[in-house]
Amino acid sequence: MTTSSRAPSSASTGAPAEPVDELPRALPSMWRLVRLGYESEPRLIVTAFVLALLSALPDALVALWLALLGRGALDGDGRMVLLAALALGVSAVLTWFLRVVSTRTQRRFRDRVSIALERHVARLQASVETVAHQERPEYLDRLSVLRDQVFVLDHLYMSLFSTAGWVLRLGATVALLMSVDPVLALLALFALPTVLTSGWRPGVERVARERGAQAERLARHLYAASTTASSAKELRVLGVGERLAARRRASWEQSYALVARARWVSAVWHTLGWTVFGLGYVGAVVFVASGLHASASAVLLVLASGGRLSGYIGATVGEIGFLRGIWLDGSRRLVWLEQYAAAQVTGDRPAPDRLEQGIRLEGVTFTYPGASRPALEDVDLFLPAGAVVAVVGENGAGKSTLVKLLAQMYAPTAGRILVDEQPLASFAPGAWRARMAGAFQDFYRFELAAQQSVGVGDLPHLDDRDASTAAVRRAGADDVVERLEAGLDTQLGPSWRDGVDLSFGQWQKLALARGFMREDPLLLVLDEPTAALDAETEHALFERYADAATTGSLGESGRILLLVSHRFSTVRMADLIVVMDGSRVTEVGSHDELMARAGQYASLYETQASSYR
Amino acid sequence: MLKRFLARQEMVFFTALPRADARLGTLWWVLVVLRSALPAVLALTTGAVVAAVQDERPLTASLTALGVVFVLTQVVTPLHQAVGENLGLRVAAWLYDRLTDACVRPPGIGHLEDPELAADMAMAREFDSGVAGPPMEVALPFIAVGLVDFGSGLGSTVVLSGLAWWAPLLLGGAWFATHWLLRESAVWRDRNTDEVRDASKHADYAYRMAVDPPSAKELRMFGLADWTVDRFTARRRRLHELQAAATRLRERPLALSLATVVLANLVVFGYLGVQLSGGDLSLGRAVVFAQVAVGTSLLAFGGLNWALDGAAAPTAAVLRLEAATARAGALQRTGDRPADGLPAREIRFRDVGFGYPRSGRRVFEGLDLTIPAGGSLAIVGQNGAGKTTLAKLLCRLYDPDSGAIEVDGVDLRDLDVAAWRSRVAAVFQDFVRFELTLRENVAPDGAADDDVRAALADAGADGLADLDTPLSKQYDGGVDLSGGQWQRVALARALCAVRRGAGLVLLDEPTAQLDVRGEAAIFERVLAATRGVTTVLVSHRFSTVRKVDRICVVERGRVVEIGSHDELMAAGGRYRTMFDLQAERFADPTLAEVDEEGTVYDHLE
Repeated sequence: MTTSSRAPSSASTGAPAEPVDELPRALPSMWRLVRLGYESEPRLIVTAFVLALLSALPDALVALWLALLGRGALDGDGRMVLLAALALGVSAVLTWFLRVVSTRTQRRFRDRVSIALERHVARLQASVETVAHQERPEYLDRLSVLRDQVFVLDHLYMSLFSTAGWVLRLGATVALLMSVDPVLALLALFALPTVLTSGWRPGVERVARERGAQAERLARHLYAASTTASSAKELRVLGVGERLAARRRASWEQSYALVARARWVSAVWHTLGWTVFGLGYVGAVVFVASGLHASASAVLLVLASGGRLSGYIGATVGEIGFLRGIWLDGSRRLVWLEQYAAAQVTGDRPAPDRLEQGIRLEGVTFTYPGASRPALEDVDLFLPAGAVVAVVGENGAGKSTLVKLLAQMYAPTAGRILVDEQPLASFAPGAWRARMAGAFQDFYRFELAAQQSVGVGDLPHLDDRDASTAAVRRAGADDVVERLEAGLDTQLGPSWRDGVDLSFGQWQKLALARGFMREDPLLLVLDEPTAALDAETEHALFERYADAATTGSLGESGRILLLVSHRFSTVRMADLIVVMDGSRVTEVGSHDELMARAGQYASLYETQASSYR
Repeated sequence: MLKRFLARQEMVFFTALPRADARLGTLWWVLVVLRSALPAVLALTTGAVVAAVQDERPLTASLTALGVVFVLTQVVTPLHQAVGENLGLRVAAWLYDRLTDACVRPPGIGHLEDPELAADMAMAREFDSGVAGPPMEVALPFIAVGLVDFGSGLGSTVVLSGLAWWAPLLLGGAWFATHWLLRESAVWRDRNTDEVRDASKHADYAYRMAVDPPSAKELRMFGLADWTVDRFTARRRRLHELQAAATRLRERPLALSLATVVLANLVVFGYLGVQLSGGDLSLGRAVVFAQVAVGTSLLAFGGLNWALDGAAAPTAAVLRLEAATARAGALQRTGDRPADGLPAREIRFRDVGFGYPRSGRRVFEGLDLTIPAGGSLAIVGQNGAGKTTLAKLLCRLYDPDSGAIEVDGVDLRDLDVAAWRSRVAAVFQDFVRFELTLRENVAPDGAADDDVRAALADAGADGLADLDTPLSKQYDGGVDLSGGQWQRVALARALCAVRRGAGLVLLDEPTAQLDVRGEAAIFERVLAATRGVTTVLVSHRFSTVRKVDRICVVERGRVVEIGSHDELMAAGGRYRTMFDLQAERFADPTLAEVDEEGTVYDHLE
């Protein structure tokens, strides 16, 4: 269902998207995870595994003790009877005791190994220098399990341990049955239908879930719309709250009906499978009692171990099903991520101290992975050192993409970027970015103490009150901080204890302040910084930049200020204006030059300027 | 006492099952009882078969009984699993309903913006997401396992009483005692302390920061990868230490438990062995008692397990919220006067004072403002000056703490809330993007297609998509809209309400997401479409503001200036200052030159 809903998008974009590389193979991935577990917790993993095996045995041996009890009684062997009876008691106690100890050991191992694994996953994802894995839908889908459910990884160990335990029980039980007569091993065959049905059930359910996925998605969306503050206003004005609640339930029922029905049907088939085994079990007892004319103790052994056999087979099959269906998948994704991270090649040269000439783009073309149209096409551009450069253009013209390429978050598909005639790609991304600063249009709301939310903009000065105060002032965010009850110590974000929520504009000002933390960047990027600023702040902010540019204080290190905006009142102050349209650069020049040219820029500018006259 | 018992969250959960679905809920319990009884019955039939073999009697009757009981034992488990999963889904849906209702029903919105309810609300909203515990459909089968184990243990003790009256007391008592002896280490009781919750939330947040897309760019720009990973690790380790310390398996209780169950088992099984070898017990009966004596150990495994905890706590939390939201979302009073044709004369804020509940900050203090009916009024002011709050008060999403808002002389509180709101059409900055069809987005409560189409045309959104197209690519045949396109749809929604008779239009930053070309053109159209209808515009873009009849400047909770654009410009006050600041960068000699070249902007004047 998901594929069919995506089909129109790929059809409309023309060329088929390039396929994503396949996931690594299952068994090597599992082995890799086992080794990771052993590396981080060698003692615990061995202890947990041994305990899981040990705790499997006492339960499986109950049948043996019962049979010995019977034989002792039949032979009139009082000592054997007493020993067998006591062995039963000891089995019961050991089953319990080993389970208690093993559960706790496993829990401890899981808790510890999951920290190591989550750390590993977080580090892998955070340290990939490009952001394709964070923006390309195929990669996002692939990594979502590792992002949201890292527990699938540590469940793999538990699942492996359990599987080993069940296999051991199964082996012991089959051996006991065969001790009566080797033919009895065939009883295991009667369990085949249940093995088949239990392997088939999850698939049936998954198909039903996929068929109901859109209805369920709608139900979830309506639930979110009904329970959040932002939509609450409109729901009340429109008077549609109860209507949406009813609609949510109806949509949910739609998806439920599909899933519930699939479950009932598959449960009935499963039940029939078990009936087949039940008949085989009764047949085995008849065979032993009437066919072999065996003793009561042999019948007892068959009764007790045959009864357990079904449970063991079911559990083994179920566990292997989980292992294959859910848990293995996580390890394959992890190994894929490891390989993906390792395959990233980056430059390693240190970043320059200052810009002498500037940054040059030569024939730069960039197509997002999986996209069919380039976001930037054949861009030639020179950003001179010390200049204030404004980039304008309508949504989707490639402005933000340009910023991402300059920050080395993607490498150009064709062409190259030169910094003072050195290829940008030859610099270590971390070192180059350390000489950048700025704010993105879709900034992140760092829900930390205000001091740190700003301070992360320059990590060495994370808790430096003077530095953050200065940055806040540069961004014109003083008013935001003044309104905070505990000033810069205030926890931001409404879901935290004593945390306060900020308006979009206030968050944006803090994002700007973060961008101004670094004292002396070579490239300062401001991507649509004014969308939510009021008139006075906006003015103050840009006056300062205009001043800084004209008095030359930006020029000491040759710093380039790159401003992305579609607000022309701000843009016109720039030394150089770059007009982008449909992924290409169409005009470059100063405000005066572009106005004189009476092209696209002039026309856009007039549209906005006229409304103030 | 009974009341306290029923108020326990486990009981709240169990009583919720039949309320969520009577049939499945009953069936689930019936199967719990059946599954509990079956192991003991199976032991009895096994004994009967063994006795028949030993005595060389015909096996037919006992084997048939065994076969039936055995097959039943096998099939009832997967059936119960299916019942539990489906019931779990229905319980979750029932709770979603209750919560949706609790959010939607209160007439105000205080319950959704109350900082004190925020934490409870956030937890309740996520109750089935698998964060606090497994989702209901996973939890219910797990809960069943605990109950069935315990029930089977009980069933076994009942049969064991046939061996000796004291045997079930001794053995059952010993196994049951392990629960009590190990209680300290079984559950993490203090996991809800602030320290634990903070560590857990901070760890989660740091993890999200490292792996989620929204932070990806800044994470790289500022080189935060190691910092956030270390932050995460430190907090997770702390959490683990707290947990490990709380649930450490203490050695002494474990040794004591072990001694107790070893002793009880030796006594009972020893007695059984002596009786059997002494000939006081037949082998058939001995086999039954041996099996149920082993089965009694299930008392130690079963009970109310962790899954119940994970399911019961959020259930209770959701149900608790109902009262809290009703209280926080209530309005001061609900009148019943009709609102037909309002406002005909004016809307008047009379000495209005207001602050958000529990925010400790006053938004308005002595606000006086008259909005004449039929005209347009713009409200300008700095961020946080209360522009949006004013719109909220007009929609009656809150009531003022002091003073009154009057419509044609009638206190807003005396009007029927629904009737008044049906007179209002509003576009908020954070308008809703329904993942529904275009038609339903424009007219969520239904409207004639002609009205829908006309409203879309008024908003400059005609030709966007077919009316039946879902506005999200996540649905078959759906399309995704850009931010600007969505804004036009939101405007069309309000304009559709106007077509259907709304008398007051609220526009809260209606063009913030439109591009340069779009903004000016769209606003012209909207003003034309709402001509004659009372219109209140909140904006900080003066290019839009100046087009309305009257403008009021709000500062520090009061109206400081009011008048037309020309009047306010002439007055030279706050408005003039703000306007000039924005306009300054356009007032430039180059404009004149281009002007002479005759470019295309005259029609906008």
